[in-house]
Amino acid sequence: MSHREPARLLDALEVDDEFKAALREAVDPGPNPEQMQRMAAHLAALPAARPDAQVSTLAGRKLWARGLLLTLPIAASVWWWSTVRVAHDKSAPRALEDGVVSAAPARESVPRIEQPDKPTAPTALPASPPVPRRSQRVRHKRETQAEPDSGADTANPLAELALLRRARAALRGAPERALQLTEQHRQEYRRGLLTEERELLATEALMNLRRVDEAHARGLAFERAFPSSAHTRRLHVILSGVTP
Amino acid sequence: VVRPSLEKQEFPALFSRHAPFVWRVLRRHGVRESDVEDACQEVFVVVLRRLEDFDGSAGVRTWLYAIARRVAARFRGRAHTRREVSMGPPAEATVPAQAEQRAEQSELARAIAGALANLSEDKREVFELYEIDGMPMAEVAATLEVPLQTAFTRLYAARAELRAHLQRARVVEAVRGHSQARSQGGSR
Repeated sequence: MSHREPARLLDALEVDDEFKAALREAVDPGPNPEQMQRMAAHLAALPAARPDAQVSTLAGRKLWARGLLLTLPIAASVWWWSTVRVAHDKSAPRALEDGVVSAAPARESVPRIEQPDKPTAPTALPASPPVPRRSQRVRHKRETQAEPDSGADTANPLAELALLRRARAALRGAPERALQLTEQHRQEYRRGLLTEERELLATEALMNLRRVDEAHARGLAFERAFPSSAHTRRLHVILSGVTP
Repeated sequence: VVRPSLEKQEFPALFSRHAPFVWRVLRRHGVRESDVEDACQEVFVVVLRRLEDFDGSAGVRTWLYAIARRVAARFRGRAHTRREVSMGPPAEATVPAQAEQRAEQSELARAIAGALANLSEDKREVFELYEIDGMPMAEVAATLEVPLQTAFTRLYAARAELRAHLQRARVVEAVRGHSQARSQGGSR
């Protein structure tokens, strides 16, 4: 059965112009040029379609919360471990010693993150570090948890957590403040237990402040410092620019 | 005829051309005005990721519509969650955009918006995809996954309801004007 399409109301000659104008006015006009520009800029800042970027921000939030919940018992056990264990291996030098992000870092100048517990290569990291095999990752994780630096600020993990919670709370309404709090955390807990969480928050704060380049640089540093982090998916969501 | 998948370099043009369409679909599916920009971006994030999966077996707008509808459902869910968590004042209801009467709209435009808001969702969808977005009816039917005949039926029904609603509104307006004139005459 064939159908002929009727003339559209907006095109029909018998429909008066006043009605056409009113019909156009009655429906949503769509984005204005400023909104178009903003969206285009955000999309242009996206990394090439990454498989993890699809995670919804809601799921990302749940992941973050789950990560935090998982961190607590780990933090407690590490704190306990550090109080009873005096000897530790100081042979592994730190790969990343300074977490300061410059005011406007280029993408190539990746900020460094202080990594409290992880023995890593002493100097320049390769551009794309090889992904360790699963067995290596597991061993690396165990080492991470079992051999904390004696200098780690593990005396009060709950205070550390509280500080990051404040940063988290400020993230949406006052990202500048959130960034300050993460910086405060970095200074007070130079070898803290929640370094990954802090970096994630700082990256999200930078994105919220539309400091996209800095956020990407920080995210890159995060991925290099914590290649097997449980927060990597969340990080990709944050960097995808999708507002939670 | 199956066209090849879209290339990444086509994305900017795709965005510029279809963002207004996606925006309207999101609004029609109840995404709040304050969220629609984020939702629109999210749609195109998905599009960017899946460009290579697009096989051309359906139209681009049909594909975008399906993505936008899913994103809109997610945003409605988030809005609901936010209301529950924040305990703040009730957020604006997830009514179609047409129901939100803007102050600067003309009287006729407001009447049309009211009439469109009164249409059932399936009729309104056909009406707007065809009349406003300019989709051919075959594409409308494919987008909404209904037979072509059904799409035509809905379009004609939507037009008839719109006409009837506007006529009623005109009669009501005329009666109101008449009674106002009488009351002003009586007070003199």
